[in-house]
Amino acid sequence: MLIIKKNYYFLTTITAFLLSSNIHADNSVDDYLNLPLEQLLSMEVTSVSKKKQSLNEVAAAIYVITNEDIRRSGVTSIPEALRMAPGIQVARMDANKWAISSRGFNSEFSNKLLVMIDGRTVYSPSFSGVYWDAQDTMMDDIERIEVIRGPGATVWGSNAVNGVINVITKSASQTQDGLFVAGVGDEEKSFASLRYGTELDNNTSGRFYIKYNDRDSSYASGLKNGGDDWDRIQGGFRIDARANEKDTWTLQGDAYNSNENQTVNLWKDPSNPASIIYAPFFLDANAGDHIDSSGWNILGKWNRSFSDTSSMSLQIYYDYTERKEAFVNQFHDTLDIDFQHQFKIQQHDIIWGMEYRHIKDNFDNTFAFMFIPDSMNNIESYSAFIQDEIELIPEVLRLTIGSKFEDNEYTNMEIQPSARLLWTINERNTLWASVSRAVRSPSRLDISGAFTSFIVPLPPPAPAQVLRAYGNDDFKSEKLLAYELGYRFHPQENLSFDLATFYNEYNDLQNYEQQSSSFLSDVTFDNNISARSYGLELSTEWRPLEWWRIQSSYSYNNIKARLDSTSHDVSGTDIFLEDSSPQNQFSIRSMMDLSHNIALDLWVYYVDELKKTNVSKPDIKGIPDYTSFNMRVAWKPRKDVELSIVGQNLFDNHHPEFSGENVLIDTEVERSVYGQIRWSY
Amino acid sequence: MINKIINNLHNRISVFCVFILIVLFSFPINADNTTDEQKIKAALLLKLTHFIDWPKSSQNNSAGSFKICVLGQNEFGSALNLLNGKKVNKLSVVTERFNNSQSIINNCQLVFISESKRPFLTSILNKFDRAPVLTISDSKQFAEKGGMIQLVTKNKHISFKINLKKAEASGLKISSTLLQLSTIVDNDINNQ
Repeated sequence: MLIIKKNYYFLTTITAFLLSSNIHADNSVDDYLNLPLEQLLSMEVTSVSKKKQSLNEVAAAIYVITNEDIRRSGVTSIPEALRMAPGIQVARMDANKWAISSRGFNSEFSNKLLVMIDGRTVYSPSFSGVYWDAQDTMMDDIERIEVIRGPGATVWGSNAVNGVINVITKSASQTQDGLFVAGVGDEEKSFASLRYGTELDNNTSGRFYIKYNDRDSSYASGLKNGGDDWDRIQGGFRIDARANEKDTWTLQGDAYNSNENQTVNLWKDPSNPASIIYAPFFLDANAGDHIDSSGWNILGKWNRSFSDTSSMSLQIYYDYTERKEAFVNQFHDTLDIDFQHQFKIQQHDIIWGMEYRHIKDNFDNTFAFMFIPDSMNNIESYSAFIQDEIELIPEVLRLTIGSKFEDNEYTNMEIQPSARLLWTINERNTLWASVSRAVRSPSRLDISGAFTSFIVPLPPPAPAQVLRAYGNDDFKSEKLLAYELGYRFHPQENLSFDLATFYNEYNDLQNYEQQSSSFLSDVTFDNNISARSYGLELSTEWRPLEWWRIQSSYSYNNIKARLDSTSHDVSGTDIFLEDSSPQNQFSIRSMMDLSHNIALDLWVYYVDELKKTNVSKPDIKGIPDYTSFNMRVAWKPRKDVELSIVGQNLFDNHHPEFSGENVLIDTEVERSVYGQIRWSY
Repeated sequence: MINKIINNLHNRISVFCVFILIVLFSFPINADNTTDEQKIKAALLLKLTHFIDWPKSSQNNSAGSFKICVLGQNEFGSALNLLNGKKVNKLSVVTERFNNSQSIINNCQLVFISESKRPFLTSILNKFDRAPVLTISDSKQFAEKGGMIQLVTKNKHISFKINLKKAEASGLKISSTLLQLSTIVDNDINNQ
């Protein structure tokens, strides 16, 4: 009864909100054409000054996934959309878990990637990786996903070691209508999302959205299924306003709740008499478990422009997340304040900023997984950056130098400088080069985690030996020195190439150091691996005909890791780092607008084999290479309605993409088909 | 609090009802998603042509139509299409978009050069040098760099900067009414 009451309350509020919104008297182009020129010039225009750099002008390996790309690829989540970007490794571990990395080093706990949604950092402070199942928004409201491979630490800060992913949603002024998207399928069992946007007054627009997804479990060999079906609901809003000619502000927020199943292997405490049924390994294998993941966030941003060449912005956000599962329950509160100021002096375009972040965490520890202490109230980091973009030769040669200075909770001041040079040879050719340093500062896990890695049965009466991995107070930041060289070539107006190459030197990478020479030894986190990697990404865009667009990309990646000669590590982490990411990846997408308002989109991608994707499953069998065929057919019977059918992994019943650590069972991605209706009104 | 509300909502049937009801209640209010600025700028493109005389030679190339071209990203949204069919000097307006500056010279009477082409502005403008094509842009320093009319947005209002020398060198005549409403730029930075 209570539920229904609350829903009515919710509905009434929303309905009242909708009915109260003013019907905006809109001028048409004809109205403006009928005005005399003087009067036309006296009309007020309210637009935010653009400080968007064109892609050609960026001295970094950047790729942009557009709103159209997302829609036409048929993907239904942010992690799946990232498969379109070159140099990014996306592997689905089970229905609700992804391993995603940039330029290699993929793992269940990938941690060298900075991921943001509208400027809000979303990687987990627990392990510096991303819970992708918790990151979502209305897919149709994503304006673009900017994917930067390589370090972006100078401006973006820590964790931007191998890449930065920035999901940018549309301004509320761009979503001034209603949109309803819903569908059903075999893997995407049912989903619906609704957005409604309107003008709140002359200078303010707003929107809200709500979405729901119900997803099926994956395939698991020898089991009925992966036991990893899940459903999720999320809602949010965004308001954008221009207060006066100088000031604009944005207020936005989201809240979500996700109910996820998973099948896990859970280590049991041998000293607990109740665990005797799990002897001798004390492993509860293929146990059904439930993830309860929820959170909310609110973000405010204020922009002031002082003149054409000078502006500042202040952004504050608060983010709460909780995640409860059999291993450990985690609760995080994050407060972040970010200030930036940009101004121009002659050839210098200078931007500097300061950021403060405060994190409060709390864990319900278990035998299998602990954080010690189980709560910290004051994890603080301060940082500042300055960057100068110098036009050495106007419109031809531009040098960008800068550095980030960061003081975090666990290590000393980290300095992350970079120098980038951009040479616009002519309208068709652009060349860029960069040298940069970036660090991944320690996470809570590196410093103070403790988890059970294995339980060794010993001949009675000796008790079973519990082997653990412990965090390390002295854990240092993982460091990268990166050299990049890129070339963009635009031979014809319908054809362009973008090539990026890199050579990376990593030091102090994380390993598991043996505590004694005995095989039955605990391990601690340490920094005893160094690595070199090199590779390239080539992407092309070709429009052979007005109605046909072809996009392709190829990525190559080679990693050599080396354990320090003084190390006693036997975990094989160095080999794992080399082998956990595909050497070759290829993707080709074709987007055709056919007659009768029919669109036909095809997408094929190939991912090379992975020889080793974890360090804790002893019977290593790698992941074979695979090719995925995807297709979408859409028909627009009316201007405001689109019907589509999407098929994913069409020529393949199921295939594995990644095998996580021993607490997770192996599952496989299945063929999927869904139908969808998209109605804008 | 928010979590509680969401938890309560977390009931498929109620979620479905919410969706349906919201759809029913949120009837169409404003289906147009071009901004006023886009419409005003599109209107200005056409309006400006009333104050400019093209040399006879430029009309011979366009087979009875008046071509308004946008080079680079379309900053006008769907407002651009609404100019099609309007009249300029008894010619019907045809709008067209180009990604590259090639093949544009003999085709268009008016070219709007989008901000996305800013890095190549100088070389693009060189291609139009002395051709009877009215070049317009809202890129910074467009007029100083040799463009003819720059739309400047300042204090929420649009005004013009006109490089008169460039226009006259191309054989275009700009009426004094328009010049009175504009700032004239004569320091062509390319010649400095």
